[in-house]
Amino acid sequence: MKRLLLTLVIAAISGISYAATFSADPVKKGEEIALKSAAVNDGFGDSVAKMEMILKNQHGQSSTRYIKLKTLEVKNDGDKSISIFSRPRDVKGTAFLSFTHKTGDDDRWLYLPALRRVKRISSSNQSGPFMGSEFAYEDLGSQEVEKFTYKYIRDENLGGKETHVIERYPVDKNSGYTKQTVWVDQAAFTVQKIEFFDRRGSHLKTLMYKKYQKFENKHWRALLMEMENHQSGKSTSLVWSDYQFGLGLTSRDFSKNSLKRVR
Amino acid sequence: MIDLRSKALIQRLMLVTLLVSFFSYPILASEDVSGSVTLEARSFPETGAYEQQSKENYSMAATIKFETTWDQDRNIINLELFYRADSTDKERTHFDIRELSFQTSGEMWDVGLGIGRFFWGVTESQHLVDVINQTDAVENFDGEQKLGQPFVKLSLLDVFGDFHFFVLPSFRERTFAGEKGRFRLALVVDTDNPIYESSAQEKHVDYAFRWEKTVDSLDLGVSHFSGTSRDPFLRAAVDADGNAVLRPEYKLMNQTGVDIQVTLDNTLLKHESIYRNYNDAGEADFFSQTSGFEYTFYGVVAQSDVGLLMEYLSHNKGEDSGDSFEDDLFIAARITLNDVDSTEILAGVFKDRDTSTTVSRLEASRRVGDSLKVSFETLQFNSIDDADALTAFKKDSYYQLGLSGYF
Repeated sequence: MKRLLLTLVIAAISGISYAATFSADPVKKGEEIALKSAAVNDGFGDSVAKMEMILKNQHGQSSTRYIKLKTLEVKNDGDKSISIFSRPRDVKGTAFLSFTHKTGDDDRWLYLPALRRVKRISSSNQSGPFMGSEFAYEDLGSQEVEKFTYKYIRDENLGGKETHVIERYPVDKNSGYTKQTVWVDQAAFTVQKIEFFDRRGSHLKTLMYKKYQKFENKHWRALLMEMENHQSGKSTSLVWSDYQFGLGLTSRDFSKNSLKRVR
Repeated sequence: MIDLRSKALIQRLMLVTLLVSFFSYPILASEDVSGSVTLEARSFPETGAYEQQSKENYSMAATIKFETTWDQDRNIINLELFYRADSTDKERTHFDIRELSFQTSGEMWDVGLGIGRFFWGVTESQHLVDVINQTDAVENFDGEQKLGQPFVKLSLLDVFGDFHFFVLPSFRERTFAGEKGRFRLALVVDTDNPIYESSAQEKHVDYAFRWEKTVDSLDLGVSHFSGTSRDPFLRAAVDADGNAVLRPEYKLMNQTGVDIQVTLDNTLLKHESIYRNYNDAGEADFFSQTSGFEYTFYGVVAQSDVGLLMEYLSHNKGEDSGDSFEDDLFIAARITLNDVDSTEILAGVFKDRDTSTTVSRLEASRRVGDSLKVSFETLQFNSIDDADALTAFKKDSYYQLGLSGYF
C-alpha cells in the first residue's frame, strides 16, 4: 500500500506515463487502476450541478425529471450529497440527503415538503431504482474504492480510446450486482463504460460515459451518462449542466436542518 | 345530478381558476413559482347521522407557492397560500397562509421568522410530539394538514446536536366541520366563541424547544412546549341565538416529548411519547405514546417495495377522554411500485384492543403525464363501539376520487 501511494505521488509529481508501474498481479493491478481513477476525482472540494434525468421505456415514450445535485467531498470518508427535485412538479422540493461511508452503511434522509417532514430512511435499499429510473441508488452514490474488490482483465481499444478493463465486485451484501466490468481511459483515468451483472450473473445494464469536459483545469466530468437496461429494454440518460466548483460549501449545507431550505 | 349549490360552486371554481391563471401568468415562467389545483369528489354510502348532511361532496383546493433562495440555499423566502372551496360545508371553505417566512443561516446557527409549519416526530399512525402547528381538521380526518403558525425561531447547530428555540406570538384555533359537514359531533362547534384559559386569549405567547441528534443509526429528539394547548376541550353551551353548541376551550399546558428512531437494515424502530401537564389543576395530567416498527421488503415483484408497519398506541387519559387511541394497534402496508408514475398505495387499520372498534383507511395515487396526478382514498368505520369517541362519525365512511394539476 505504501509503495502504491509512493508510486501515485511520484506519478502525480512527474506527470509522466506510469502504465508500466502497475503490479503484475491482476488483483493488485485492478485495485491500482481503481485507485488512480478515484484519485483523478479527488480534491474537487464541493460542486453543484443540474441534471436532467430522461427516462425512456421500451416503446420510446419518455419522461423527464429535473434535479439539482450538491456534493461535498469529505476527507477520509465518502462524499455527502443532496439531490433536490424541481420536476415533475408534484415532487418539487423533495430532497434526498446522503452521507456515503467508505465502510459500513450509508446514511440517508428524505425531505417531504408537503408535510415539512424530514424522514431518516434505510440505506439497505442499494439496488432499488432511483425515482423509477434505470439507475439504482448504488449507481448514483459516491463510488468509493473501498466499496469493491478488483481484478485487472485486459487492455482494450474502446471506440478509439485505449482503456484498461477491470472487474469490480461489490462488498455490500445489499448490492444488486455480482460484478461490474469497468473500462478506464488509460490517459485521463476517467471511467468510460460500466457493464452491470445482476445477482444471477447475467448482463443487466450498460452505462456509457460521454461528453467528458474538464472543469477548473483538473476535474473531469461526463456531461452525458446513458444507462441501458438489456433485460427490460428501458433506458435512462443523465444530462448534466451548469457545473460549479469551489463554492465554499461546508457540512452545514448538507444537514437535516438544511434540507428544509434547499430548492 | 348537479344541484344549484354545486352550480354556484363550479362557477366560483372557474372564477378562482381564471383569476389565479391571470395573475400568475407573467411569473409562471419563473422556477420560483409553483402550485397545484385539486378537484375532489367524495361519496358517503350512508345517510349522515345529522339532518343536513349530504351523501356526496365536491370540493376544490388550490395552493400557490413562491420560494426563492440565495447564497447557496442559505437564505430562503417562502410564501404558500392555500384555499379550499367546498360544496356542502361552509366551514370547510377556507383560506390559510400556510407559509410566509424568511430564514437565514450561518455556520453554526439558523434564524427564521414569519408564518410557517414545522414537523416533529417519527411515527406514522399519529403525531404526538408534533406540537407547533394547529391541525386544519376540516381538511382530512387524518389530521395531517396544519395551519400556518406565526413564529420566531433560533437554532444552534452542531453543538452536541441541534438546539431549536421557538417563540410563538399568537395562537391558531382548530378548524371544525360546520352544520352540514361530515365528521361533526351531535352539536356543532361554535368556532366564533372559543374560551381561553389565558387572559391574553389568542395573543398569549407560547414557547417551544427542541433538541435533536443523530448518532450512527439512532435519531433522537427531545422537545418541550409551554403555552396554549392546540387540542381544545369541547364544552356544551348555548349560543347567542339560543342554540345548543359546543365551545372549544383552550387550556394552558406544559408538554415534554421524546422521539426515537433506530434505522437498521430493512427495519425502522420508532417511538414517540409525551407527558402533558395542564396549568389548571382540574384537568388531569397524562402520558401518551406510540411505538412500533416498519419493515420493508425491497424488490418484491419487479421493482416494487412493500413496507409493513405496526404501531401500538396508548394513553392514560381514561375512557371518556375523547381520544380514541387508548389501547390500539395500527397495522398497515405501504406499496411503492417505483415506476415512472410514482404509484403508491398505503392501506392501514386501527384496531382497539379492548372493544370492537375498527377503522381502516386506504390511499393510492399515481402521476399521469408530467403534471397531473390521480388519487383514491377511502376511510371505513368498520365497527365502532358505542362508548368510543368515534361513535359520532360512524356513518361517515367515504370513498374519494381526486385529480390534481401541478404548475
